[in-house]
Amino acid sequence: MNAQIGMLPIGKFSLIFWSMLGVHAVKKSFVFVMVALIAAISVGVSAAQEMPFAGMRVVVATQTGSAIGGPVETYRGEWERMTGGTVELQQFAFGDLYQKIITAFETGTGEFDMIIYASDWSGDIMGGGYVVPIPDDIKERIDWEDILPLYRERIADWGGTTYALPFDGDSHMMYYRKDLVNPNSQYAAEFEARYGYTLDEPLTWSQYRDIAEFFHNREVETAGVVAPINGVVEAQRRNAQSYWFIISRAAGYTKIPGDPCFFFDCETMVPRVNNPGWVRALQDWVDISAFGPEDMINYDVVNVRAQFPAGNAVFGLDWGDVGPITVDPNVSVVNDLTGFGVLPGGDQYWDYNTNEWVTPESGVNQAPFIAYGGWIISVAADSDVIEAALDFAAFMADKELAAVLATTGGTGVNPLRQSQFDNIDIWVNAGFSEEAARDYLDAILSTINHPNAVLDIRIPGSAEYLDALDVGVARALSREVTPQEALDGVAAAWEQITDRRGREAQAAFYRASIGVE
Amino acid sequence: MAATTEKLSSIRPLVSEPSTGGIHEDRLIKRVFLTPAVTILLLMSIFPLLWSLGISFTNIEQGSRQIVTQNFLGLGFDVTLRNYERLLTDQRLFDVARNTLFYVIAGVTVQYTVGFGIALLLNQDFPGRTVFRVIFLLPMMMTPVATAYAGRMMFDSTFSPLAQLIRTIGSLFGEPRLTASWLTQASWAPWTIVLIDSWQWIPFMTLLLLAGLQAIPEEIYEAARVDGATPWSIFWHITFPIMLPISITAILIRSLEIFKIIDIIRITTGGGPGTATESLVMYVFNQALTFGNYSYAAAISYVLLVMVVVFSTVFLAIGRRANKRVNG
Amino acid sequence: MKKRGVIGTIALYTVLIFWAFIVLFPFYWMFTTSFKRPLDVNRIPRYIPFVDFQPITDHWQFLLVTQQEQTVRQFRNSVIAASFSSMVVVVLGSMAGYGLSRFKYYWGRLGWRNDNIAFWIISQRFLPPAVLVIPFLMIYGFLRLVDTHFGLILAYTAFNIPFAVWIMRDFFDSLPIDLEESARVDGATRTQAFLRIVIPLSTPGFVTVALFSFVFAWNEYLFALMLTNFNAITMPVYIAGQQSTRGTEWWYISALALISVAPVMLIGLFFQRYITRGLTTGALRA
Repeated sequence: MNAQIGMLPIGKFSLIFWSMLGVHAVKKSFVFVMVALIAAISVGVSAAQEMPFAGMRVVVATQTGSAIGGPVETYRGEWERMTGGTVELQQFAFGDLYQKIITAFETGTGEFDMIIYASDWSGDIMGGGYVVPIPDDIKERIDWEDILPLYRERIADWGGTTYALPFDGDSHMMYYRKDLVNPNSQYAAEFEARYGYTLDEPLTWSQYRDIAEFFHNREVETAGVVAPINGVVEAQRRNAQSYWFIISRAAGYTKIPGDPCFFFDCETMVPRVNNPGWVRALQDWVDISAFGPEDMINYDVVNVRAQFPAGNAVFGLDWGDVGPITVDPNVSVVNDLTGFGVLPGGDQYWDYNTNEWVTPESGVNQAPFIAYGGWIISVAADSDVIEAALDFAAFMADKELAAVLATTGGTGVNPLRQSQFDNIDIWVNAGFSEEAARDYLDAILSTINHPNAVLDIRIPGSAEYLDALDVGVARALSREVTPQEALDGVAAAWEQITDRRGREAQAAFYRASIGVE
Repeated sequence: MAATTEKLSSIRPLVSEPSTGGIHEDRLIKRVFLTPAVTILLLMSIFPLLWSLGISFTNIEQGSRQIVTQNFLGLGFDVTLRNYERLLTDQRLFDVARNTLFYVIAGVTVQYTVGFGIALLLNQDFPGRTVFRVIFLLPMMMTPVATAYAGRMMFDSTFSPLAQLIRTIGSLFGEPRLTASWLTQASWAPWTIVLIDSWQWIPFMTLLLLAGLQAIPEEIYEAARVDGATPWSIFWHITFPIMLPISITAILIRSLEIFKIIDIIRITTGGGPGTATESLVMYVFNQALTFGNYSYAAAISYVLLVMVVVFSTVFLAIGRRANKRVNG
Repeated sequence: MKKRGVIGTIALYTVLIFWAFIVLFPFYWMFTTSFKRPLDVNRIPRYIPFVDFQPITDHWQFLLVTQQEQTVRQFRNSVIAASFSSMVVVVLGSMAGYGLSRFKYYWGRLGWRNDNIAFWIISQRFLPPAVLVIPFLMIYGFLRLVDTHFGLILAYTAFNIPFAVWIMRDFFDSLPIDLEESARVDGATRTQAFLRIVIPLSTPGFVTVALFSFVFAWNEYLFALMLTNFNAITMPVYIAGQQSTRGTEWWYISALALISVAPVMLIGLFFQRYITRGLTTGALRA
C-alpha cells in the first residue's frame, strides 16, 4: 500500500536506522532547498507577513509508523520556522485510524485540523461534509497540473469539488521473474510445447495461471541457489487486503470498456457482484491457491513484500511497494530479475446488458483497478485554524517534497506526479537500474492512465460493502461455499445495505463517486 | 460432615443485621458509605445507557451528521422498531452468537479445570512454592493486546517454534512439510483462540480458587483422614463443596469477560478464516465504529444486556441452590 | 499435610515445571525477539542468543533513546491513569462494599434491597464497551475531557468500581462483626469503629482490589484508544500502534510488552502475600 521499504532489512542496520539515515540525508538537502526558498520569498514579503500563523496549533492525524506519518514528523520543523505555527502529529494504528477519524467527526469532539487518510474513505469523509474544499491558490502553490489527472480529477474530487490534496499514488501491479518468464528463457520451449503459446509476460489471468502452474514446485535457480519455487504469492488473508485483489481480478472479467458503472448499476444500485464474470474471477482465485505457499490463505501484502523479493515466487501482486524493495540488496535477491507489469486482464468479459460473454478484439480486456487510491490530505471543516492547516497541507503536498519522498525508502509515498515519471534520474539515484526504473514507472503509468481503469468503492458505507465482500471471499477461499454461493451472499448483503441506507441516495452517491451525471 | 459445615458458616457469615442504637447516625452514615460509588456509576452510565436505548429505536447511522446536536436521544428521528426486526433475521448475528457461546463454554471449562488443578497443586506444601505462585500469575499481567501478538508468534504456521516442532515430528514420519493450521483453518482457529485466552486468564482462576482453598482450615482434612477418607472422597465431599461459592463467582466473572472477547480476535485472525472466529462484541464493534450503524449496534447491545441479566440471574440462582444442597 | 512419596514429589515438580514452561516460554520468546534482527524473526525460529542468532540492541535503543519522548509519555500516562483510578476505586468500592455488608438498604421506589443493589452494580459491566464508547465520546467532547488524564481516570474508576464493590462486600462479610461491636460498647461511634478497627484489618482486601483494578486499567485498550489522542495515550494503544502497514514490528511489540508488564509484575511481587491473604479472609461469595 505504501511501505516502500519492506519489513525485512538485512545487514548491519536494522530497518529503522537504515531509513532514518536515509531520511536524515534527505532532510539536509531539503533544508537547503527550503532555505533558498525562504530567502527568495522573504525578499518580496514584508516582515509582518513572515509569521502568518504565529501561535496557531495544527493537529494532524494519520497512521503510526514512519510510512506517511514519518514525513510529517521530519518536515514539520521547517514549516513551523517559516510560519510561526506549531504542528502536533497524532498517530494511530492503521486498523484503528478510520474509526478514530470518523468517530471524532461524527461526535463533534474532533480535535483534528488536518487528516492524512486513505482515499477510499472519501465517501464518508468528503461525502459527510467534514472537510473543506481546497481553494485555488493552494492548488496553484503545489503545481496542481503536474499531478496525474487520475489523482487530481477523480481521487481528490467529490461531486465536482476538490476536497483533498493527493499525497501518495497507489495502484495494483504485477511483479514477475523476468529471468524465468520470457520468450528466451530456458523453459520457453517446454512451456510452449505444453500450453501451445509463447512464454512471456502474461496478459490474461489464464496465462498467469498457466505460468504459475508450470513453475510451481519446479527447481529453479535464483541468485546461485537451486530450490523449488512457488508459482504465485498473493494476499488472501481475511480482514486485510484480499478484497482489493479479488476486485482487481474481477475488473478484467466484468468491466465493460466505456461503461464507468462497475460495482453497481448506476440507476438501480443493483449489485453486479455475482454475475458470471465475478464468479469466474473468484473461481480463478480459489484455484490459484494450489500454486502458492501452503499458508497463503493467511498471507497479507506484508508477506508478499517479504516473499517475492526473497525469490520465493514467480509472481507477486502488490501495490507499488515491492518495486523499491527489489532493489534493496539487504532484502532482495531478485534485483534485475524482476519484471513489472500491468495486472493481467480477462480473455473475455461478461456483458450484463446482453447477458453474454464478449471476447474483445485484442484478445484481452484490461481494466486496472486503482485499489486504495493512495493517501490524501484534507482539512477538517470544524477546525479553528483552517488557514494554517491548509497552508501546512500545501507544504506537505509540495512538488519538490513529493519527488524526494517518492524515492526515499520508508516514507510510504509512491509517485503521483508527471514530473516524477519524466525524471528517470531520481529513480536511478535511488538504486534502480535505468531499465528497471523505466519498466517500473511504465507499469504504474499505464495502470493509472488506463482509460478502462476502475476506482475503489467510495460511497458512504464503503467499509460495510467491502466487509461483506471480504467475508464472502474468505468463505470461498476456505472452501466453505462455492464462489457462486459466496458472491450471491455478497450481493444479497449489498442489497440490504443499500436498502437500509436509502437506494436513491446511494445511487446518487455512487454516480458522484465515479463522475457520472 | 456436620461439623464441617458449621465451621464454614462461621467463616462466612451472611449479611449481618445492623446493630442497634444510633438510628439517626446510622441512617446518615449508611448513605455516606454507599452514595459516592452509586453516584459515580449513575453519572457515568445513565447517559450512555439512555442514549443507547433511545438511539436503538431510530435509524441513526453514520453520515447522519452531528449526532450530538441534532440527534440527541433520537429526537428529530422517526421512532422505529426496524433495528430489532433486523436482528431477528440477521444470520451473521446468529453465527457470531454461536461462536461467542463456544468461547464462553470452552474457555470457562478449560480455565476452570486447569485453574483448579493448579490451585490444588499450589495449595500443597513444597519448597519453591512462592516462586511458582508468582510465575503462574504472570500471564494475567500482560495486556490482552500483547498477549494476542504473543499468541500469533506462538501459533504462526511457518515461523513459530511450534511449527518447527511439528515439522520435526513430521519428518520423523516422512512428512517434512507437515503443518498445523492453528489460526488458518476454520475448525482449528476458535480452539486456538480459546488456548490464547486461557493462557492469559487461567492465573485469574488459580488466584481466586487458591485463596478459597487456603481458607479451608486444616483441621477439617485431619478429621476426615482420621475417619479414613480417601483423597478422592476428601476432594469430592469436602474441598469441592466448600469451593462451590467461590467457583460460582469466578465462573460468572470469567463468563462475563469472555463474553466480551474482542482484542485477541481482532489481532490474531481478524475474525477469519471465513467468519469462524468472529465474536459478538467484535460484530457490535464493527457495526458501531466501522460501519457506523450506531442504532443497530445499540439494539444488539440491548438484547444482549437483557440476555446477560437473565443468564446471570439464573446462574446465580442455580448456584445458590446447588450451594444450599451441598452445603446445607 | 500428608507426606508425599518420592514418586509423588517427582510428579508434582514435573507438572509444575511443565506449566511454568508454558507460562514462561512466550515471555522468553518476546524477550529474545526484542533482540533479534527482523530476518531472524521472519524466517525459521531462532532460540538462543549468541548460539543461533546474534542479538542486537537496536530495537531497545530505538524505543528508549530515539523514541524516548513517546515511550516515557505513554508509560507515564498509563501509570497516572491506572494508579489514580485504582486509588479512587479502592476508597469508593470499599465504602460501598462495607455499606452493603453492614447495613440494610431499601430503595423504596424500586423495591430494591441489598442484593438487588449489588446486582445492579455488577450489571454495569454487562454492556459491550464498543457501544458505550460513542456516548462517552459525546459527553467527553462536551465536557472537554477527551485526551485528558482526568477523563481516563474517571472512566476506569467507573469500570472498576463494580468489581471492587463485590470483592469488598464479600471481604467485609467475612470479618467478624463482634470486633466492631465490642469497640462500640467501649463508646466508639460507628465511624470511629470503622476507622480504627475495620480499616487496619482490611489491608489485604484493599491490596487485592487495588491490584485488580490497577491491572484492568493498565491493560484496557478500547477506551484508551477512543478517548485519547496524544497527551493521554496509554501503553496498550502504543503497543497496538506498532502494527503499521509496513508490517507487524514484532521486535517493538515484544519490547513494549515487556516494558509494560514490568511495573505490574513488581507491584504483584511486592503485594503477593497480601493478595492471597486478602482473598483468603475475604473469600468470594456468590
